Amino acid sequence: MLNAKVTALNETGVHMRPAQVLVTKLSPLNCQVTIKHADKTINAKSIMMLMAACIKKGHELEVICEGPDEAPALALLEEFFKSTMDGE
Amino acid sequence: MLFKGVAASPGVGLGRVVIYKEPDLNYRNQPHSGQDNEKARLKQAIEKFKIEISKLVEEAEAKAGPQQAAILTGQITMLTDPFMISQMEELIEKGLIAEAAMDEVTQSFQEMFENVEDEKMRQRATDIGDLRKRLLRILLGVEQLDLTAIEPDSIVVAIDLPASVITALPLDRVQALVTEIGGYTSHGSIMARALGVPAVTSLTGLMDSVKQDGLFMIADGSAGEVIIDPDEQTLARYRQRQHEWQNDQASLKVFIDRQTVDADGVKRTLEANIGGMAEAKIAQAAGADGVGLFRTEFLFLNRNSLPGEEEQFRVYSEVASLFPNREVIIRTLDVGGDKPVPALGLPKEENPFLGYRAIRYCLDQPEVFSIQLRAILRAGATHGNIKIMLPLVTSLEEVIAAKKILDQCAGSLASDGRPYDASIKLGVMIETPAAVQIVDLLATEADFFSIGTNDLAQYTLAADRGNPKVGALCSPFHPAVLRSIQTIIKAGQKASVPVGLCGEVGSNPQMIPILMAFGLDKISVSPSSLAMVRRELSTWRLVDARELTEQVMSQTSANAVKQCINAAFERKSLNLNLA
Repeated sequence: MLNAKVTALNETGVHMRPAQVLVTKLSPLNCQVTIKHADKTINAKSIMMLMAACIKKGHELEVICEGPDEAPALALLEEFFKSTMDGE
Repeated sequence: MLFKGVAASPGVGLGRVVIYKEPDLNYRNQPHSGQDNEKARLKQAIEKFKIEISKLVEEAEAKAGPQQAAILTGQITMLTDPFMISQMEELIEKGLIAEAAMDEVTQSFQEMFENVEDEKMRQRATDIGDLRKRLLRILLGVEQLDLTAIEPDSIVVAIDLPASVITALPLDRVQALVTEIGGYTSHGSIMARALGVPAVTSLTGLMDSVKQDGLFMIADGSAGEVIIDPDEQTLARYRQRQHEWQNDQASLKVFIDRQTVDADGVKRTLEANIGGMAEAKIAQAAGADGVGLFRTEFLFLNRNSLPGEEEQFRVYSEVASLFPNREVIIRTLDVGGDKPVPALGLPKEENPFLGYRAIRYCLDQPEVFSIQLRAILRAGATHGNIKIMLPLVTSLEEVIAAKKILDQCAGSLASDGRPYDASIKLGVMIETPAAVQIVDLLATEADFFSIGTNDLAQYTLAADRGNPKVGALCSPFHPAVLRSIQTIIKAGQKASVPVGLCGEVGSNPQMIPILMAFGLDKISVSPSSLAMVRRELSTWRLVDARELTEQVMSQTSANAVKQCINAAFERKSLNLNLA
């Protein structure tokens, strides 16, 4: 299991389009990906869950990856939340 | 066969029945066709969904613009969520049919979105609801009824007609709307009146007699009657009546979109009562001098979460933009235990009209009230023409308390650096006997008054106008009601507080000369009555109105008043015909 604390820097937060981009990238990876935000636990491979989490710029998150592809998954997430470009 | 119901929108319609049915999405009796098969059905339905939506996206881009199209594209994106699909498949593996699995999963997501704090994200719940219905329809193979293709001279018959369905109808081919469920003030009826389509509602059991399209029907929206398969004689009578009605409507056409002046040539202020954008547009087209009553309840009805500040701000600003340099009076939330507002969770009460409602609720729930006040204050800054009106006031303290919350809202907007109307006017609706008695006190805090005659008559005469046994007692011609109206107007004049009137009384032609003689500053009526009231006002000279009113005020009963006015109207029409 790998985990890391990240700060969401995405300018407009994680709305539908960034959520779709992230899920498309994470889907082929063989591992579970969870994001903890405030008191919520989010399955990061779900567009709907990501949207409903209402992640905004500046939110502090914990990401947890578990499974064979956990390392590339974590790298992907860290890169995603660092990007200010709406996940593009 | 004759059916009696409620006259929801005046006029006579003659035509063939077209039945509108909400698609039946009940899947309880669907057989289970095996796990693999159910999964395959789900997959096929999702593919078909994407094709249907893609078509709609093209249409929407052409007709409604990119924003509408983006909402639809979003529904496809949601359905590509691998987690959501896998949840549905898991439920199928547990033995559910595709319909049930899809329904359960989408409903749980819909609830999740209804409860998020972010206003914009919360609106996704509606999208998921739409998505759910469409997918269910596809899975069940239910065709969507296309009302845009109905024949000319159709009468649309339904259990209930949502306002969204009514607005989408090709009105030039609709003779009348007929529904089992509804009342004079239900949303569908208001919409029918606004659009000028005859409508009859509250016809319990009608659908048992109307089982197929094509039956010939007469719908009399003025009398509240429906006749199925009429004989020749009846038909001839109603053709005549329809003819007269259409002639009258045609003669009213010249009174659309022109200045309102009385027979002395004095300009009179005639405003509109609206419940949303659709009616606002009709009012604007009919030349309303502004909005005397904007009911905000419709923003709150039929939904599971409250409209947020942004949504309200948008609606209020849009309406305000239609009436530049004319006032738009927004009535704050006027709900109680008798109106279904699931989002507010109001309990059923023994006496909802004497209960926890309107300003009482708002002062008790300042968080809900503040969201609305902030939205109004902000919208007020966009065109500077918005005013606030408080419903069901019975004491001065209520006005003071509401003003305090309004000040707090203004303060918080100022510290947020958001533009708002710092000099917004706040008025009081006079619709309780208590308010009439203390109207001089209320004048010290109110910037204007508006007389709500429906409730004022009901509370003054202690008679429920919706109760057929006592409804007739609730007459606006009762001396108690007339004296109350006169008292309010006099008090307003004395304190230099303008007085308007926004109840149904305003669109009763027989009341026009009385209100004029009382010195009412402005009348606000439903958009469909604007031309008629304008025509009536144009026929009265102040001196004649005063003479009649003097006689009226010396009568001792509602009946006597009515007779006195009837006689005057008969004399007047005789004179007009002679001239």
